[in-house]
Amino acid sequence: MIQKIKLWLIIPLVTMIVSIGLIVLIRPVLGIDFTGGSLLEIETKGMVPENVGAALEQELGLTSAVQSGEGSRLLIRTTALSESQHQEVLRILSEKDILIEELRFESIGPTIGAELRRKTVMAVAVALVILVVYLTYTFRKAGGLISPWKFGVAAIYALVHDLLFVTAMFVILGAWLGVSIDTLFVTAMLVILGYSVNDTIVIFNRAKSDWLSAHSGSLLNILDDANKNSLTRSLNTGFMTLLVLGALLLLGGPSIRWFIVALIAGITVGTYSSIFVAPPLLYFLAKRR
Amino acid sequence: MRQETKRLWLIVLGIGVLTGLATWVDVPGHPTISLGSFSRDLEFKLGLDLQGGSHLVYRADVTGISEDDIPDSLAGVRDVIERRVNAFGVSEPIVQTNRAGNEQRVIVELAGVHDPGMAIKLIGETPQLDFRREVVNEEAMQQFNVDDPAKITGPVFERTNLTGKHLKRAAVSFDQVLGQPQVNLEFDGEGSDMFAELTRDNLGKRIAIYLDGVPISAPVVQAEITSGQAVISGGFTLEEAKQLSQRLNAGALPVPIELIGQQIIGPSLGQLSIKQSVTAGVAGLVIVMVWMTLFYRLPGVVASIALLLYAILFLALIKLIPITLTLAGIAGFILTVGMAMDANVLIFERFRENLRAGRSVSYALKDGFQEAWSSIWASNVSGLLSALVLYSFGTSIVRGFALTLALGIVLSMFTAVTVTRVLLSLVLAVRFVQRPFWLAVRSMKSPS
Repeated sequence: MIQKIKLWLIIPLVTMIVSIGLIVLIRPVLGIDFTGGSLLEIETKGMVPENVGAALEQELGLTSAVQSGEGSRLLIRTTALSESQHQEVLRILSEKDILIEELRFESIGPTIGAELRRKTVMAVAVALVILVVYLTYTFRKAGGLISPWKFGVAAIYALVHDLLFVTAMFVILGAWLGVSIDTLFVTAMLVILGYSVNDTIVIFNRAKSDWLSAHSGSLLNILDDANKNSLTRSLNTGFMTLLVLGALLLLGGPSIRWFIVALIAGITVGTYSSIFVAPPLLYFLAKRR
Repeated sequence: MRQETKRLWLIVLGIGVLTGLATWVDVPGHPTISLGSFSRDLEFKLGLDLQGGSHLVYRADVTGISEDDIPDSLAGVRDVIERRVNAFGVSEPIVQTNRAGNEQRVIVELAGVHDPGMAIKLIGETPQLDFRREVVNEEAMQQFNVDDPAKITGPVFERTNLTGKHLKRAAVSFDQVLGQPQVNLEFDGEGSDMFAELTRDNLGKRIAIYLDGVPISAPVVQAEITSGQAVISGGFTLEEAKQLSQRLNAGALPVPIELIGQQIIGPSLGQLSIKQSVTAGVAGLVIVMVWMTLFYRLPGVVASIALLLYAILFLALIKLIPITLTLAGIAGFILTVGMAMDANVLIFERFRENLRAGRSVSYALKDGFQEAWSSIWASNVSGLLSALVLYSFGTSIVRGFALTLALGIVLSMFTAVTVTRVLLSLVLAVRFVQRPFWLAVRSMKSPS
């Protein structure tokens, strides 16, 4: 499957470079939980978003980004509102006969947003370091084959590949449909982190045990056989996880829709990367002494 | 062999009892259970994102409070807010303090409160009572750095250490001359001493009572007051006097707080999410069980039973611990379902490989478990490590995820490995099922 090793070293590299390019060029739409600001979701009597924005601008001098949501719902994004400003907005919306019900209101000060960003990055970074250490420990017995730390690095490489891919996808979705990168997205990334590493471990482990029992053959063949032997398992597990996610996408509420989309993309790319991204890099690392 | 079978049946019995208990816990509508000092009501605790409600974040202004006293002041703020929201009639409010960098925060979660305007008012407008003494002009001059004393008009008041903290209780009474409503204050021991000292030092001068930084009355001290009693007569209406005394009784905030963030999730959104998520979750589980059964036949049925058991035990533990269910938590659950199934898939794939290689059923099973174990162990440990790191560094939403992930991993090791193993060992010992059809392989050695 990965006998065309050069190809499988280049494709992930290209994917990652393109992803980074997209993220840098288009820039993600960050949710208010990361930037600070206010988000108001209301049930309306079927209003055009532009009119609502204009009404708020005119009455309160408030700049807002208004977006249509599910059905006759509207999402209004502004800078962080104080409680009295919030009440003002609601008053104007009722006066203009727009508002039926306030569904959600979030107002997050800029300090909380910055702190959330910092903490999240910190948590993920520490998790990655610990995973490399643990994988090095787990594969310590594979020393005869490849130095153990290379397993960890290859697994994290595949993981970063997956996270970049999904982030780039959401950056595009953000530019196209206004989907924002918020805490729920971060949670999805954490799930992908867990899944991707798990998937890669299984294949590496297979390669290790095949090597230990056979003690011969070329490294590329061992890795390729590990892929082939684990293929049913990889596809089956990926498929079943996708089944659960598919049910959640179809039947779950709109509030978790993009979250599920992120998971579906992540599980798919995670399954792919454990076969076509991690083993080739491991091979590449092993060949460089 | 007999001995071994007996042992397996005993384990099955144990699992059965455990499942029975967990199912009993899962069924809704139980009264509170109590075992000795352990008592737990068996209701799901839903996070605000599922239930709807208000999440308010306050910043406590601790300037001028020494580092050592900060934890105490914050605990005071928490207690006061708790009393206030309890008076508001919110069931199980969550009031937490936490430190973020240099900031001291108080987080208030009010489940089911969709109009937080009232709550914010109640929490934010908590009266801050303090007593101030009149400053003679030279002193005032020094303090405010004004050159000409004539420019200072009216009395100037300076903060003293006596504040609402030293209040024991407040009550409404009526002015005996005019019959006007007023508020009686009674100080605690320390407060009484401070008040006595204050009145002794300021005989003939005025002491101002400030509420939220605004003077509401400034009587002249006629005599030293040692009884620890004071009166605020601020020209209140009866309603105002009642409200003030109520609020003073609930306690004044030791330090001022400021609302810096709020999240309000409306009722329809919350209910919609939970109902839909549950339907979706059940549908997802059923589909996975059907797929496992179609793909792996008899072992698939056993894995489905283990998965069902996993779901039942997971829900029971969520109720018992209790863990607040959030969307992030549900995400953690989905991941662990995937991992639990993965454990079984790994085992069954190895099992089938062994069968195809012509090994006997019992050997193929034993060896399948053994070979799959190192993969299962490595993935689960790496999952647990991630969960641990995320829990220690993450914010509340990340923590909710980490907690369910950790719980799910530990539990799934039990159901997907132990339970599956025991059940399979028993089922596959039956000769009748040792055929290719039941084990989802094309060819195998016939039972000997």
